[in-house]
Amino acid sequence: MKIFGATRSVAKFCASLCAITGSLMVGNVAQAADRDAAPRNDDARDPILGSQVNLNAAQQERDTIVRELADKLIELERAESLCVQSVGVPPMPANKH
Amino acid sequence: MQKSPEIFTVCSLEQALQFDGTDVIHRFVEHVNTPLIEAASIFEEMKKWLWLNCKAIAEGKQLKVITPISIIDEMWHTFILFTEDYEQYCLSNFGFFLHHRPPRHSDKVQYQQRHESNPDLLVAFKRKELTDQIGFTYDLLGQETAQLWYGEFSNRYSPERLAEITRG
Repeated sequence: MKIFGATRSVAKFCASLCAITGSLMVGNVAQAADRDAAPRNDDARDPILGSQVNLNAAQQERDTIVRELADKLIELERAESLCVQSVGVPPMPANKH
Repeated sequence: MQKSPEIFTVCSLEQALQFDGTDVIHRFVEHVNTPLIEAASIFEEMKKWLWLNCKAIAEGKQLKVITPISIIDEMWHTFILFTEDYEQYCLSNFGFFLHHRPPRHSDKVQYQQRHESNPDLLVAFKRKELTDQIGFTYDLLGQETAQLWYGEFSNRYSPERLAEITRG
């Protein structure tokens, strides 16, 4: 009986192992399928092109801020007839000064 | 005819900021009603402004003092009063004497005539000029400085406020 008991335990253990292995395999296959199905985005992974994308975003942010500040000043100028007050700096070599 | 400097090398921003302006700052608060700490902060911005002008000159550009940064211009005037310090500062950091050149009467007349003959064209021209200057500031001194000078200062130091705080 003990032999049968031991066999049952081994059988249970093997069944569990198969279930785990099976689910792992299914998981792996599913992941592989996802990988194949997903569109490749090489630009995002490429360190050079990736940083180019970031640069473009930074440049866009910079341009937007600069434009907004300029627009605001133009509006202020319209409202207050503000004008250039002084002009900076034609330099002259010190030895000629 | 404006003369350009001969070969010169502009120092790093860090070096340009090292000058101690205690005397200039104290003089400034005598004629502009601001707390000392605020004047010290304006002095720091002025050193950046001088450095930026030299970088602009090195690239064949010319910056203009526009209303929002008039407070920096006021500090520049004060610094220039200390002629020896100012000269030494310019020569040691920029390699040449950085002149201040307010618009001449003829410049103002010309501006007025342009405005009357074609206001829209003048606005387009000014927009381009402003965008270039703000962009240059942004690129060399960063977003924070660009927003401070051309955004926040336009509120904090409006012409009315400047007139209020300037003594005599």
